[in-house]
Amino acid sequence: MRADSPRITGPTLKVLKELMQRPSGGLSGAEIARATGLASGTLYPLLFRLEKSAWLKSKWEDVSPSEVKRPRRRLYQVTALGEAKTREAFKEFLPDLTEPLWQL
Amino acid sequence: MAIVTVLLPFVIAIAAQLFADEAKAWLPWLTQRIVSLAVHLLPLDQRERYGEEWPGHIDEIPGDIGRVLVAIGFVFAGLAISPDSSEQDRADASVERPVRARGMKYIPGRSNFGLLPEPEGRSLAFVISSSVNTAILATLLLAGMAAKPVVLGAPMPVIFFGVADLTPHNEAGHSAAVSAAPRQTARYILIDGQP
Repeated sequence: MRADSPRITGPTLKVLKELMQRPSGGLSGAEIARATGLASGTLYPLLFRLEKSAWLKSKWEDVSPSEVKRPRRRLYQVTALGEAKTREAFKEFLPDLTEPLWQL
Repeated sequence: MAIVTVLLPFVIAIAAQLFADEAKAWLPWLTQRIVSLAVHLLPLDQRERYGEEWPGHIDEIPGDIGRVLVAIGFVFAGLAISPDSSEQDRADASVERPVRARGMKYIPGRSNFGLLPEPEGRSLAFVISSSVNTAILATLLLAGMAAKPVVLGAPMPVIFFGVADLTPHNEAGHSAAVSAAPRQTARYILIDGQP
C-alpha cells in the first residue's frame, strides 16, 4: 500500500466520518453504503483509494461462511493515519472544530 | 367484443404474473453474472478479494431488483478501480515487457497454449489448453514408443491405429450371423503385429 494522499471530497469525508463514529469492529461495504447513501459504484473505488493510501485497513469477518450460511464480509476500519488526516481535513473545512467529530 | 373486454384484464393479469415469476427466477442468476463481469474488470490481484467481498455485499441487500442495481454499481466500481493499477499489475507489466521485446503477445492469465493450463484463464482457455496439452503429451508418448527400439537397436515397430472387426467369421471369410448379433468392434493399437 502506498501512502499517497487521496483527494478529499464530500463522499470521502462522509465515509471517514461514518467509520470514525463506529471505531470498534469495523463496517462492511454494505453498512457504509447504507449509512452514507453512496452507490456501490462510488463507494468501492473510494474505499480502494483510501485503503491504498493506508487511511483505512480492512479484514475479513471472523466467521466461517459454511456456519453462517452467507459470504464473509470485509470490514473496514480507519487507521491512526486516516484518523489524523480526517481531523486535519475537517479542521481545514471547519476551523472552529471543538466538539468530537462524531457529533458533527 | 364484450367477452374480450371482460377477459382481457384477466389475461393481462395472468401474463404479468407469469412474467414477474419468470423475472424473479432469473434475477439472482443475472445478479451473479453482473458481479462476475465486474470482478473480471478488476486488476488480477484484486479479483479474489472482491470476488468474495461483493457477493457478501449483495447478500446484505434485501430485494432482487436492489441487488441487480448494486451489482451494476460494481461494474462501474470495477471500471474505476482498474486504472488505479496495483503493484501486482506493475510487477506483471515488468514480466510482460521482455516478452513483448521478442515480438510475442503475452497476456497473463489469458494464454491458451503451454504445457500446463493457465490457472486464471477462462473456461474456454482451459479447455483449449487442456486439449493442446493432451495432444502434445500423446505425440511425445508415441515418439518415445517409436524411438525406444531404435535406441535399443531393435527393428522399427509398425504402429497401426484402427478399428478391428471382431465379429466371428466363417471359412469363406464372411461374417457369421450378421443379422443375429451386432457387429463387435474394438479400437486397438497394433505395435509390431502385437495388440
